[in-house]
Amino acid sequence: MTAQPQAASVASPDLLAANIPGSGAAPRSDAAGFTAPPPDPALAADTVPFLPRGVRLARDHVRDMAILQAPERAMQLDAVGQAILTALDGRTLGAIVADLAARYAAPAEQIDADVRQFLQGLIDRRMVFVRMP
Amino acid sequence: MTIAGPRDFQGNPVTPGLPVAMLAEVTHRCPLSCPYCSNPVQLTRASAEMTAAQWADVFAQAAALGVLQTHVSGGEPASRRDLADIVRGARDAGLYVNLITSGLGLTLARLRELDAAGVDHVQLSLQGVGRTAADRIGGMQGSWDRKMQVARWIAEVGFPLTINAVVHRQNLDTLPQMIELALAMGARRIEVATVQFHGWADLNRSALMPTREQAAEARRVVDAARIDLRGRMVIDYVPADHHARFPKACMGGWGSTGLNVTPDGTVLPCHAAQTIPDLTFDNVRDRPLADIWHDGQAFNAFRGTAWMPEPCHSCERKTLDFGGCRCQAMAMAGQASATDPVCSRSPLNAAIHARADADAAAPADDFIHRRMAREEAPRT
Repeated sequence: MTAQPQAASVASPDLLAANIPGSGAAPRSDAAGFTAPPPDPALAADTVPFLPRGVRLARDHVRDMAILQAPERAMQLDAVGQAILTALDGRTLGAIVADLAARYAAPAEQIDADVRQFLQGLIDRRMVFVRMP
Repeated sequence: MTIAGPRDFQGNPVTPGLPVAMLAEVTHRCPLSCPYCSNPVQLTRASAEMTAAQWADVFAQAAALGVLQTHVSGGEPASRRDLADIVRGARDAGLYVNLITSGLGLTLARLRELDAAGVDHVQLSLQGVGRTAADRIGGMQGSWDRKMQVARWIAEVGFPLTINAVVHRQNLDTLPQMIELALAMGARRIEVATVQFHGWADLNRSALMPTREQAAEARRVVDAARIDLRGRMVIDYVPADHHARFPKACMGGWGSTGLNVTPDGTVLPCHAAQTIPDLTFDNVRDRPLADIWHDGQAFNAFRGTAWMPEPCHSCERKTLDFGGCRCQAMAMAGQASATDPVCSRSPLNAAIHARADADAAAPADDFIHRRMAREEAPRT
């Protein structure tokens, strides 16, 4: 078999063979009989950001630093990152921001922007998930 | 007279850091025969494998040395009947455990057991999409069906999942379906890794080398998918080495952040290091891991930058990419200290490109499938 570059086809016989028999043309997300989980809600004041399974705060005792352990990634955390991630305890983003603003005696808008930026980076890396309360 | 302190292969003093990640190759046994396997062509026989108790000690030493995560791999780690015992040893040492598997050999019961034992995350390989492609590339009939069933069980147990798709000329055109499949399986990440032409992959290079057109199309597919799937799934893409202007920092730099322990306890700076002559490799059963890391001849040989010849020595990128891969330099330039020929600044770069183009245009040969020499059945 000599492979030729060609347009990819979703409805290749091999793929359909692994689907439920008789299903015909499968919807985009139904590859090989799986259905993609729905996307998380977008991060918003009334949503609850959380650390999913397999992501946890930890201590690197050898280097004496706080870290975030995640699938095939370990991230060093500074004090701000630690404070934000420790606050992911089931509260909404709005409640977390209000709490941090009070604790750090800082303007809520500033804390809100900083926290959202920090969390969105981790959301994009699938290290923080978002749900409705 | 012994010169005190760690030294590179020329005798320049070096300063070892501390490792972060450890690859634990617990066996070279595997039911698949992928033609690009990164295990050495000379595979370790089962009777030489370390026991779970020995692995537990290795994990404890690794954690004390600063290792935070282990990747439990092989061969196929599920070929070890005592895999849960091995995992418990890593968990008890306080390490984060990534299980790197083809899925073959796993059952729902074993996955639940591995969950209880301490596996934090599963990385599942994908040889191709669909029965015909996947079974052919992996060299095992029935592998696709089994892998799909294991993927369902992984989702049922709830492990975080990464799909690892090794890509090459014979499957790159199905990259969009690979991404869709990973998304549908609930994977948080898909790693699309172009074959690296060492070991078994080197034997199969004319069957595996992607064309320039395929590489360009893959780039487009990945860029579009990243926009489409932002926040839903991470797509990591490693293009063919020689398609970039500069090499990657192999292992993050020799002997800097990672180490590899093989099934019989040999400790390596990287999986291909045994292809470099004049390196001495220690065994963790004979020497403490910390000693091997700090004072091992192989580990110190290419640490730092003082050993580099030109053009690396004067290059502004030398602390970014460390001149690329030592094993690749050995294989392609005949000298481990040479600039990795995939670098555009290597005098051998043009020849590498010419050879790759020739390989990509060759008719796809039958694969030379990874095979272990026959031996008696293991006792575990």
